[in-house]
Amino acid sequence: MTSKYYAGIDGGSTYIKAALIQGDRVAGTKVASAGIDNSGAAEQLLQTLCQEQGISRDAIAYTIATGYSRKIMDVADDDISEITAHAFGVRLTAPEGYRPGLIIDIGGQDSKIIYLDENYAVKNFTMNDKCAAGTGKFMEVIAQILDTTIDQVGELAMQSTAPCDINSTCVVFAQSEVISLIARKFDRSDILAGVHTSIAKRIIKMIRRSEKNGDILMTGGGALNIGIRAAFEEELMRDVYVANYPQFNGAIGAAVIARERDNV
Amino acid sequence: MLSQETNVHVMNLPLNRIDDSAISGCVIEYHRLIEILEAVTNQSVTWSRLYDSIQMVGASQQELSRFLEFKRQDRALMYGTHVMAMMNAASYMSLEQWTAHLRTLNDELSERQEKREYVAKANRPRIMLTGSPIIFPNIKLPLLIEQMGGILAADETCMGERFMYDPVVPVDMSFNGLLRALANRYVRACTCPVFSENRQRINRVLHMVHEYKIQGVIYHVLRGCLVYDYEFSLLEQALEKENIPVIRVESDYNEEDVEQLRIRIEAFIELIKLKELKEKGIRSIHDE
Repeated sequence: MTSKYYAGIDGGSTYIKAALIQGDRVAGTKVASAGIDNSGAAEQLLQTLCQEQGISRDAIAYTIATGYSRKIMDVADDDISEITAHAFGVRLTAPEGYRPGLIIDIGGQDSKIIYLDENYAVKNFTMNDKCAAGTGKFMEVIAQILDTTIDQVGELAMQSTAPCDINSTCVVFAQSEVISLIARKFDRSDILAGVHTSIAKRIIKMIRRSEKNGDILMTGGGALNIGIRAAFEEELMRDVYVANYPQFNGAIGAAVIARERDNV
Repeated sequence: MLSQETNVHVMNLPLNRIDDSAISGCVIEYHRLIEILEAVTNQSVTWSRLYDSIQMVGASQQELSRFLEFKRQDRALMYGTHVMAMMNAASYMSLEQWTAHLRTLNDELSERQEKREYVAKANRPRIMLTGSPIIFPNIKLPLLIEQMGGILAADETCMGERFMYDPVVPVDMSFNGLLRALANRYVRACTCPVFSENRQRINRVLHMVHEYKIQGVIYHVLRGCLVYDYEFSLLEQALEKENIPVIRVESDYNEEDVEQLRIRIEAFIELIKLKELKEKGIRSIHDE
């Protein structure tokens, strides 16, 4: 039975992600910008994935959608919330030997904290989707001001020797704070390190209790940023690990659920 | 601000409602209120009028307790969203009218029960709503709970059954005795967290969780209604001991946050469904 393929689609606010799994193996992942035609873009992604695997489109036994546009994904057989999808995703994406008890997910337009029990089931969760501070969008804005791109900010921040203090929790105010830091000729990497710390602090406020059971795992596009991870470790005084395929964790989770649904 | 629009009389209610002095204080406040009401309406609050009103509310409560019997059943005869709207109606119409409508509704529910006409499948997670009030037309939360596959089986909110739950029981039949009975009912028995000592509300929620076989609690915090926000962590601790999941959702009277509420409620209902599958030991998406 493990030869069957299952697909998950994560229609996020900024990108659409698709993942194909076969048994416990992540066969392939693909990402595209979220345009207007979400379902069409998702179908394209699935077809490309099938081609790469050398299988026909019909070989995908079941597809589940998650993310903001989960309800309008006609290509999927069913949909699931991002929270549940992320919890299932880490079963496949957690680095070998680690057992996640807390997931920190940083997406394009929201961030989530998910508590898991010893069976990887969701125990509780908190979300921030009303404020852009602590999201990928925030990082994108700051990167633009500092004349760099989002995939470089992490590395740059790691070069910092004396991180700046950023006090504003609001993106709009933090933006003007960053501009004033530039005017005062602060080093770019110091400013970025400060921004990362402020994002980490902002998200840590959502972690209302320290979960001692299990490891802390980061998912979402934000996990690709080594600077944020370092800021979390500094603030939490704990090791923080990054899931494999962090950006695709939701899509992989949806595919895992598709597999379980099909096998019930 | 309200006094710019209409006549306002501020009552001084005790924060500590457990002491007997609180009740005596309330009686004095009621006397002041009566004076003002009499001046404004040109009518007098007599013993018999007060007694009749207590009786009238009692009749409503009796009808409501019949209604609550239907609500306690395993299978829903009516959507919880409709129940909330129905309970809200009591604040917008005369109580006699409301009671008459409730009687008609009860008769209909009794028929539905005989014919086994249920509105939802038995496997819907039974959700309880507590925290800040759900005030018509702001019924986003009940609607979302039932749209996302749950059933709103009970509520502990001040616009729900709470405000009609406890009866007024006069022991001393003098005029002041009736006022004391009112204070005992509306202040001492009130579980609103504005009062200082409020274990009563936690106990009431736990009691209802068992009575209505609740599988998950949604805690509503209306922006600005801070007292409920403060009490959340006590209730969360109490529910954790009972192994009942709870989430806190913050909202207001705008419609703009519907999608953000939806994802939370959807994920919460998925959480309960998965938990139930696991507890029943069914081969499920939890088995690896």
